[in-house]
Amino acid sequence: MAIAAQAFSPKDWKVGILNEATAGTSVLTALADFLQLDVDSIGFPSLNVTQKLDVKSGAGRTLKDEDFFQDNIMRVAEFSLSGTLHNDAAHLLLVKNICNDITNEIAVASGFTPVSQIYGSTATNSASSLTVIFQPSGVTNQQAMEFEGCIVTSFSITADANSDGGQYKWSATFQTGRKPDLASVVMPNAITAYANTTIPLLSSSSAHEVFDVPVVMSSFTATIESPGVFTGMSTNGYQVASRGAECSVTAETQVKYDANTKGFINSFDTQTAAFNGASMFKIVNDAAFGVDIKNGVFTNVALSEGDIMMLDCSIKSVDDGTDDLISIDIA
Amino acid sequence: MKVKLKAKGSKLPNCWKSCKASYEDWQELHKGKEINVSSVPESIKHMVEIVTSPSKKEGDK
Repeated sequence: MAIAAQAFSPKDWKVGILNEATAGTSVLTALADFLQLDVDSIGFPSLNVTQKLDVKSGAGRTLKDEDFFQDNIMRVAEFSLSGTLHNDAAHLLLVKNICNDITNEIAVASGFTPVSQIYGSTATNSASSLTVIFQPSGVTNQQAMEFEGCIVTSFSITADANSDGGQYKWSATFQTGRKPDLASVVMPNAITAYANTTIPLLSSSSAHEVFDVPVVMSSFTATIESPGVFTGMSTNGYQVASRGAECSVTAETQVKYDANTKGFINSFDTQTAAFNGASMFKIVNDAAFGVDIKNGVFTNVALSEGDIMMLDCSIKSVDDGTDDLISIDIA
Repeated sequence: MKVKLKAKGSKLPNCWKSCKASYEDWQELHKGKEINVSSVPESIKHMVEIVTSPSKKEGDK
């Protein structure tokens, strides 16, 4: 075979996403219209194949070919992506998936219990099971990677007033217990690109509050984590996709040290109960990923030296039995 | 109460829900029209003007 002339840019790949009607069953084969995620770069997935490379008894101190074993079925494939956030159907699938909430005010509700899905059965809702594809520009000289039955196990939104014009960014970790197709030559019917008009911006936000007081905010990150747990067995991988023991919501923010925020350090040090007030952490940004965490605890407060003195605040949301752990304003 | 922009062309933050207005009304406000709101958050008070209805003069019906 002669050598091949083709060369590809890392930017030749794009990431498409679509919800599945049947959990763990690819929608790519139906040649559906995928939606494009705005990603900075294509991070290579952790395939997590099982390999046995132990030297067993035999002549010599070498690994014998008969002792090699590899399994690519009973494994959890994982990948993380990050990029610029958009308030569109593609990016909303991520947050809807981890919150198991397909309404227009996405929330991790009080008493939240995540769903458990059987691969091969009807998906719980229109965001609960996802197919993600790493699609090259063509399939003649390239191959796509297709991950079906994905759940989002970690989702963060972050924004900094001092970088990228205050654009919201996202990062997410996906897991699937289904065997991925890493040599896919199926092209989706289309991958609908995101628009440059749907990016939430910090500049359109107002009413920034921490610990129920107005703050001058510099940046924030809000993170939802809900680890995946995969059980059962089949020729295509695990049978059931479930979630771990805790769905947690945390927020990190940097605010100006001033008369309103001077008490945060002592409040962190002396807190004996969770704050149950109006707003432990809030950014009003209607229909643009405004974030509201009503109840929570400080998990850290520290001075941060910059051009002016700032405060780094870490918050964990708690469930008071009534309020959402977090609500995200998308419409 | 009715409000309008103090300076035409200024960009308000996305807080129509806090004002109990609709997104469509918020767009109209940006276009320079007066809209009805229930409250005005502190953060935009410097950007909007509360429109007071003219008091009735004697002889007005």
